[in-house]
Amino acid sequence: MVGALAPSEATGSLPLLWLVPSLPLAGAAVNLFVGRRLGKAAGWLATALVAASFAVAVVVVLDLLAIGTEERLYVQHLFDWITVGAFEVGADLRLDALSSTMILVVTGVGSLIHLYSIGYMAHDARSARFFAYLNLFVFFMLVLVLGANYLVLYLGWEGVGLCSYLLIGFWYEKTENANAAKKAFVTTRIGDTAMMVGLAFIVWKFGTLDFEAVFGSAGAQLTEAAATGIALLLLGGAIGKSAQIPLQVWLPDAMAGPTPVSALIHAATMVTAGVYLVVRSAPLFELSDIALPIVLVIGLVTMLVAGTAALGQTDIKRVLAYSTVSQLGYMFLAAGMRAYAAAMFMLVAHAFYKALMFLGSGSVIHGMHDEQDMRRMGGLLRRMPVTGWTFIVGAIALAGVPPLAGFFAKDQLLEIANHTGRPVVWILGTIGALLSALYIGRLVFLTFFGSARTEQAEHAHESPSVMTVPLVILAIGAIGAGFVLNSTAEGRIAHYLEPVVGEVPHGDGLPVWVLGTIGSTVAIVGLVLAWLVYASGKVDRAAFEERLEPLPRTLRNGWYWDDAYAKLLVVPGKAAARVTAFVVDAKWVDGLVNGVGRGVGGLAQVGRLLQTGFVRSYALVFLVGAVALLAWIGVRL
Amino acid sequence: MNRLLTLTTFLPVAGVVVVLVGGRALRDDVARAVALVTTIATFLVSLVVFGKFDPAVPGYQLVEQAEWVPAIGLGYIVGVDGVSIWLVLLTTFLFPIAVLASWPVEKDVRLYMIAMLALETAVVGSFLALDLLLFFLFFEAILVPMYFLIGGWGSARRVYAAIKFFLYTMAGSAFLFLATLFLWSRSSGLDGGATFDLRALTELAGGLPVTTARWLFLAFLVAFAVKVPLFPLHTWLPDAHTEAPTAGSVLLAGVLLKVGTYGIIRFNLTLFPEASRYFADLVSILAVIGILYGAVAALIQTDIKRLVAYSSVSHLGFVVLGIFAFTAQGVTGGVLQMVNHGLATGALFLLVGMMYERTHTRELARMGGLASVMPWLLGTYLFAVFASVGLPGLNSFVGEFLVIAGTFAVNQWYGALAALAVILAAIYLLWSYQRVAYGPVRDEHRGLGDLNLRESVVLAPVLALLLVFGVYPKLLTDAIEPAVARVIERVQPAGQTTDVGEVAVQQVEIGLVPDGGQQE
Amino acid sequence: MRTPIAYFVMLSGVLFALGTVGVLIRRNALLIFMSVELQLNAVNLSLIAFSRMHNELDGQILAFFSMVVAAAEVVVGLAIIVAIYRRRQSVNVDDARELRW
Repeated sequence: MVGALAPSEATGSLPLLWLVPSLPLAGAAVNLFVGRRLGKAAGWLATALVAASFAVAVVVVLDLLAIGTEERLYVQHLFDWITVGAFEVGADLRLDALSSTMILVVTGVGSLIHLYSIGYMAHDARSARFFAYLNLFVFFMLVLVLGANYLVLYLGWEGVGLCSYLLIGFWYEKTENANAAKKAFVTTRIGDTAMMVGLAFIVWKFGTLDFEAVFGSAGAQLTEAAATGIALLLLGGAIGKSAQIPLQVWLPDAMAGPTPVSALIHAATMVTAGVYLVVRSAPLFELSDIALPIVLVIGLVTMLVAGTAALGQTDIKRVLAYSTVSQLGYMFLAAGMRAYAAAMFMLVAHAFYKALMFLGSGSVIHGMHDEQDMRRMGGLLRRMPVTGWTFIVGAIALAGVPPLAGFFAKDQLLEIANHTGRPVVWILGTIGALLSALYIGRLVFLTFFGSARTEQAEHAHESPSVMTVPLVILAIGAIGAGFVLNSTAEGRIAHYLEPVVGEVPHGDGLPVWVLGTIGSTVAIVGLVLAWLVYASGKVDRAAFEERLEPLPRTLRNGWYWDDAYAKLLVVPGKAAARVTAFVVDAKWVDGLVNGVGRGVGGLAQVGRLLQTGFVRSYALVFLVGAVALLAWIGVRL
Repeated sequence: MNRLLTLTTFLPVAGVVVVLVGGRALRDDVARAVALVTTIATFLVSLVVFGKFDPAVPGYQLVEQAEWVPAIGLGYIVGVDGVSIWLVLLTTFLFPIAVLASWPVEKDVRLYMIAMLALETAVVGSFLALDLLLFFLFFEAILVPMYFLIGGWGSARRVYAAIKFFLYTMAGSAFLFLATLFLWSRSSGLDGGATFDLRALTELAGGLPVTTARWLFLAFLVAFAVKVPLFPLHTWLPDAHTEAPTAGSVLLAGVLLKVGTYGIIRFNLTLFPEASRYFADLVSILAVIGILYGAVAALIQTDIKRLVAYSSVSHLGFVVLGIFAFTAQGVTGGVLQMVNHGLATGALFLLVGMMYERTHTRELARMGGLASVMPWLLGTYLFAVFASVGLPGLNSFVGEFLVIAGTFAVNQWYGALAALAVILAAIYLLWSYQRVAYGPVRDEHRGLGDLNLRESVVLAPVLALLLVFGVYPKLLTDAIEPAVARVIERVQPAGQTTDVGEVAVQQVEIGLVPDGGQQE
Repeated sequence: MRTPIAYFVMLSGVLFALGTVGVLIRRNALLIFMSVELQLNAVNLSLIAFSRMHNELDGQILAFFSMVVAAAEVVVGLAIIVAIYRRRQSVNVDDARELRW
């Protein structure tokens, strides 16, 4: 548990914090309304604004660092958002160690991806619209991480979902892109709704959604059951956003979007929001006995399922997508072990190398004229050297070869698993590391090594420098992040985050150097195995995969989760809707209404038979009636 | 004496008179212009009313009182409070937009405009009347112009829809009328003799036997539940919405349904607080069923207007659910949702109408790819769709969240189940949007024009409000809350949870050790 | 000596019964019409008789009133019958039964 921080006064440049999200928002507005008239300038404007946002973020964070750790918190109240009775939610921004880390990643990686997009989207007629959405995304992502209460976080949370929807479906003329966009939004919405109920739960228990107020009194306010309820509902949201099992199905399909989108939203930033949420809400999760173990198990299972599924993919972007899911599983795993700082470190490192690889794959696709199938590539390293080498850097980082970023992150994680007495987690985590080395090795060797397998691969060309420069910068990040942020349990980032997320757990187990050796050996073994199968020429790849059927097909279909959902949820759901609308509503509920109408009509049908048209019979009835009336009056008298 | 409210109510009638006096001599364009000018003038007057309205004062304001038929105690009493002021503004705001959206109507323009103007007077009158019989007169008067709008200018099955709408609502109102007369008959013992004055009857109703009050509550509820519409009394709505002309659907969804929910707050809760508590569970369950049922039924609709109509059933369920939570957040959220639904669904119907004018179809299967042809129209539509989906930052979210949070604290099941509709809303709205906007363009739709100037003028104010009320809902809640607090005070006895925010704050201050388990 | 009231009432009753039977069994619209007149005059007779019995003029006034109304009604009724005759060459009421279900 972490005690509440005392918010510090506004000093130095801190009051400029509101500029960080506002700049991209302004860019989005301009590009949305007059972007088409700007032409090429639209992309540069968008990039400049995100870069400016990054600059402001750096300045602000530097001023934050000047404050002592115990007061390293700045809350900026912009305006009252919702005020009803005693329930108040302000549009508040909160800068602390955790959110400052996130905004640097979002704006930093974000501006590189914007820069890259200028080249990538150069030939698209609607590129102004693209940059508007991309800017809008950055705005919402910053709101998400800067929100000082759950509702502002939720605003950003849904906002990034919206942008994800818009960008996945950016080329909406193709039905499958539109489908992928809708699937992404709806699947994450399932989690989001759980989260919204979680927020209602928090309101019920605390009467407020403000982080400080909630965390400050959480211990006193919550029973274990209530804490579990809240934590699991929030976890629902995190699972959806971070594509963890069982809501992971949307992310591979989300690759239908333009590749910079995959890099920014579906690798570096948005999908890590779930990790951020868990880390942010750690004080609530820790009050529950089962919430964190569940996080751990979900992370573990997701890591293995997605890691194996990545092995079966043929589409270069889908490999990376499953890899992202798997890596996010690692982060959940870390959070589940209370190693929040390790999770955040992994998040930052992953942002670098995965964004790098997505952009690299985009460069490949660009050079291959929109070909994404790895089986139709090969030998691209010679034709696209910058892309190829930077990609390899990313791959080595991901695989966990020292001394790149991925190694430190993964190593720290496995070390914690080992030192806190979780041997199963440690072993499975190591297997996961082997898997990631395998699938990324397979990708690299299939794409960049060997000989060109198609005409397109022969004539592939390197991308323009506006696209390769960001690759180089990110590659430097992927190499350096580990050093700079430092690896060990007492490392810099852990120290920085400590006031917010608490200490990294310690314990005893195998010596650190043994663990490190095992980790790096596993990574290298994985890469070598991949080389043997896919690049050495000693193994007939096709025959090898043939012999393993039906495993490769199962993996290619992501363990058939989609089909299972289609059969178990979509089909019955549609049937239920059909019954509700066309049987229950049309036949029963409305049938009753129309039945009443028909009943009255039927009575009238009978009644009108009395109207014979014979005047004399009317007269007779009249007479009888008059006599009867008189007789009745006479009897009464 | 101040006559502002009367002016707001009856200014449209002046437009009716002008059109009538003009007769055949009036060209169609002039008739349209007269209607537009009148409705805009009414909106301006209502803005003046808003200016004079003091949100901090909880009771009725700007009250005008005059005798009408003293022999039976019928008075002309009108006034506003924090709930009705927004509904009046919503009404006067939507009418000029509806008139402007009706520009393409070519058939019997003068009659059409007369119906519109008469409708405005009836709706505004319903929101302002503080005399039960006067309210009833306005409430019934809504039916006539609406009947003609649907029956005269609707699409294929318009006559069926119009008659269904008319009879259904009339059947409900019969109970309202009986209950009103019953209250009136009991009021003869009062100082001033028999009366329909709501304020006097509020005093009186408090003294009624419990059982009587409950029966009267049900009678009022039936009338308003039809109008809302509350499951299972909703089936007139999809037909009416679907067959009505664009402006008719906009007004039906935008303001007419709100007369029902408004009536529940103004009459059911105010007159029969004990019965309201007694039936709270029943009504809440119906509301939750309606929320889910409407959403599920919307999933599979093939007619886009029908789909939006079912979504209205779902969204209005939120309003009712919030109201019957009896917490400040729930009821305020409910009222907020009334306004927001009016704007968001109004925008949806406007846009669907515009698409219909171009493609001449409402069948989802016969659209597709329109985003490539009319980017601005479909972009605007997407904006309205996301407002309806409940995206934070746009207006509907605030109301929805307040309702869910306000309800959850009282009953976790209602809150959680209602939240499911948020998922379903995303599914049916995005699915329909995809069918309309995405995919390849159909040949017959190539070359269709994008938004024109008139349509942009129609849409811009609505869309702006979708954003403004999402970012700064305080504009609304500041006025709503005191009025809501007054209602809750009547309904909920002391000691019950009425403010979700407050209860917990106290616990923190006192440093109470864990609750949680006790309340669950 | 005055004629006892009972005689008048009985005569009036007989006339009224004749009129009623005429209305019920006749098919010719004109004859039905005449029967109705008979009924009216039967009532007039009793009105006058009672008026004399009570030595008050109210009954006679009412009789005049009824005669005037009857005259007016005859005008309208005959006009309708003539119109019907012109149209269908018949005043048989059983033929004119279009106003049924």
